[in-house]
Amino acid sequence: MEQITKSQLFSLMLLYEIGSTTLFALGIGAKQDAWIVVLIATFIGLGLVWIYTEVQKQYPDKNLAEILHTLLGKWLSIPLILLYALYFFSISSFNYFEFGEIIRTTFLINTPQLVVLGVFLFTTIYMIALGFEVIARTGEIVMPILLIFLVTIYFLASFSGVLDIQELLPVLENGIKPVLKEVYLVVNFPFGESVVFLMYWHMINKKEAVRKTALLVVCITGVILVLSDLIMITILGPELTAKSEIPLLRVLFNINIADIITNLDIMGVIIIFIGGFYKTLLNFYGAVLAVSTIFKMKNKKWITIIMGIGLIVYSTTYFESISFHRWVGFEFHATYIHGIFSSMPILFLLMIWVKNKTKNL
Amino acid sequence: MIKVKAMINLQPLFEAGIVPSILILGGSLYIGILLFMNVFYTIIYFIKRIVNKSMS
Repeated sequence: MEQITKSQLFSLMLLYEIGSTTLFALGIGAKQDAWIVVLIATFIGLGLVWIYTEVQKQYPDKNLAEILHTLLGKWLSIPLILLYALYFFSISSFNYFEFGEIIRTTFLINTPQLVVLGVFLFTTIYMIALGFEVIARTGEIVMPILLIFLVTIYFLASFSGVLDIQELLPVLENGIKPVLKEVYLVVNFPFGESVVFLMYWHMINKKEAVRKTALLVVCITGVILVLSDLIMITILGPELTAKSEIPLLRVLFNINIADIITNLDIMGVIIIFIGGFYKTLLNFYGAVLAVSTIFKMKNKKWITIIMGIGLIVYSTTYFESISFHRWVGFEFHATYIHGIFSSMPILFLLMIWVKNKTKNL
Repeated sequence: MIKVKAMINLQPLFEAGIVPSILILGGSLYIGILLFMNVFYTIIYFIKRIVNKSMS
């Protein structure tokens, strides 16, 4: 069986959580208080991830599909595993299209979208064919690059002279209500999405390290997201941050240190590429694993290729534009679908506890 | 004139497409099933406990 180390899991989880989230100002519905939203959501996210790791702790050698099979039996579990596979596939299609569209509209303007998406898909399928250990090892190499670029952006942005702390004031202008309203969305995206790691946690060589690593990742993600919100709001202001499609790119265009350090959008491309790629890859592989577990497939090559073709067809035909993508993403995915699928493990855990107690009687 | 207001409005789901619809409807159904099963198992747990206590 494929096995990964603690640091590899840490890298993968961090890549997944940060992924594309730093591109957007999360919780911007609460205007200048978005950072408070992220802070509260991080604490709730910690609880949510604790629940996921507790489910994994009960079945340390099984992935989500196998856990459901044991817990619910054959007939109830198969439709649910298929739903989870569809859920992972759906998230990966979102990241996939988002990545392709951003690259096409900002950097490769004359390149057809299908070419960008095709190259991206080819790399994804190739990495899945090499196995999860390879994905984890590359994650370990790539994660520091992403972090260095992010920290550099924040660092340069702070010294570029366009930062205005006054934009953060007044704190809680409209009370706590708008903040609490946004918390639910930020808990679901990105913290609730880490439910996909229930497919991978069983591959770690030291099972006792799962919880510690996962909780550490949530804390670091929280800090990075708070920093990201603070930088975006202080540079662009709450109104412009809320209106712009990719606030991170606008921040990058604003960085100008003595006309020497300018045009840092290449850093944005690298962040978009690494983050988008790993998020798509991990969700897509999660869907492949779920389907291959149901049908007891040892060789995942063909199912990966078929689902890969499905991914490119679905993404190009379903998403009409980036505005439709955002509408479905926030109105349906972040509000309902993430909510349903990321809260389901709470019910699994309750069921495991009650089942164990009934057995012991 | 009596106005009948639909409790379930499926129009937004049609606009969002087939995959979000399946996920929302299927997910909600499963939340219901899991809640029912949790309640069911809890009732069984208490019945077992009462029976065990009365037997001992």
